[in-house]
Amino acid sequence: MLETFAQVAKAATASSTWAGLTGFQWAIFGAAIAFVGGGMGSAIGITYVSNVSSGILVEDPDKFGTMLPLLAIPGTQGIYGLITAILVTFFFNLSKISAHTGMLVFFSCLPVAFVCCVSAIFQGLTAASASAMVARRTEELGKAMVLPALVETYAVFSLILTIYLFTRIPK
Amino acid sequence: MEVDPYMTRAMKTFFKVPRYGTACGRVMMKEATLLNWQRVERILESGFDEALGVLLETESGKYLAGAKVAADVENGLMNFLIEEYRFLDEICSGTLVSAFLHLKYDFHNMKVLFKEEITGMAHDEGILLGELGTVDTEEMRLSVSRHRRGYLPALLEESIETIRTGLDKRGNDPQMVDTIADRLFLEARLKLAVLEKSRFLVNFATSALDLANLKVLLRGVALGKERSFYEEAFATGGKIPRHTLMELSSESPERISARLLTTRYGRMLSPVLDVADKRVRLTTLDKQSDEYIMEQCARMSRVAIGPERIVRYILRRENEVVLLRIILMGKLHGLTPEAIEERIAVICGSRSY
Repeated sequence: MLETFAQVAKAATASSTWAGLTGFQWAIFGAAIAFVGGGMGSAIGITYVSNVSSGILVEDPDKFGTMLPLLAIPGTQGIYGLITAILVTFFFNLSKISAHTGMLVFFSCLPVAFVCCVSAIFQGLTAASASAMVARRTEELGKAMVLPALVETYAVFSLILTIYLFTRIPK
Repeated sequence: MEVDPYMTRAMKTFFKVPRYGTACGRVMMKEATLLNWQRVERILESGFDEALGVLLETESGKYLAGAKVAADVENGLMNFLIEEYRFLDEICSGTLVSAFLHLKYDFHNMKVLFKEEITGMAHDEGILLGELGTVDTEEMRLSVSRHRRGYLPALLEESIETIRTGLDKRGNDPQMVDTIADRLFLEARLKLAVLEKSRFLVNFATSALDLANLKVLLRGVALGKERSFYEEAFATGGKIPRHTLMELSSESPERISARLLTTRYGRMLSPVLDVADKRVRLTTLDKQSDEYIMEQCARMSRVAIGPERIVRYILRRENEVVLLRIILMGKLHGLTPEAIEERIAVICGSRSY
């Protein structure tokens, strides 16, 4: 597996394109997939928690302020995706990037793309369940926030890993 | 391409939230208004008028305000339940959960109307629960008396036809109406659960169907019923197949006990089927089957989003109505709090009702 990867990297280094894409295209592809993954997950996650929250708000519209943090929390993964996409342009000179570096940028973006997508969906489910605590007792918001926040940890780890990998890619 | 059933089950979690999320959110808010045991104790300790005052702090209070006699309490509680079912209809539009829960009232009305036709005697006022069913009682009356066809949902229309055929075959016996209608209700509810594609609803309907079949079998054997009775009474679709139950119906009580104790209901049936005494404790059977259903309800509380939460809420509301009826009627008839509490324990099982 590692050998195959090394061969692929070598081939990419040798040529100006790899699999028909230039370094610039690979880097942009990576940035785009990081944002698409994070954004898609966040949209689904927020939809889940919004479904439950809208039911709670129909019964008690005064709970809007209390529900807002739970509604917003799955949205952070979309922000991580956006940060990753922007960081690609900050870390690398896209006009002069080689196919090899571009491909490495692409692979470095994958942790954010996948982990943020999946964690946002599950965070939405967790936040939807945690809404029951807030529905019954508003003062339990702190405890209710801890549960989806635990899911958030892994999205943060994926962002840290992606940024770390960016720093390790030779410019 | 064949889809892995485990994958399908896992994927259902993601579809449950968009389907039941809003309804569960509304139920979450209403759950906070359910009668708790502390309030029940306050009601128990107070007199009738004070109890109504305590109830004003709850959802049912406004329906019972100013009640003086048993009929007022009965009407108030019925209006409260009707309002809860209206809430259910509102939150469950687009799903079959509401129909699943309403169905028992449709079949109750059907039975009352059939019996009314057979005996030629008008029913007591209040027995027909038109507003709790999905179908207007007058429409059902017309269908039952063959004046109109095709106006009711197919499931009810078919059931009316089956009851009629059964009565034509076995004679116009009100008892037979109960036997056939109860079977058809269980089968129809299972059909709805399957249509809703909810594993919980299917399991719930299947367990209820199995328990009803077991009651029929054990009572039938104790009363020495004939094979034709079982043919009409056993519902199909349960975990214990109908043909197995038919075979068991002609066996000795010892063999029935031995076979049933090895089924998934063995643990529930063990206090009922006393192997050492070689007898069946029918009085324990109802209590055991109720506790089995309550166990299932307790399991529902682990599910945050799904039809489980909605069904559990409605069952708890129905239980609340039963509880309030016992307490308020007891108070009207001058029973002591201890005597009322004893009745609650017998009917509602435990304090966690």
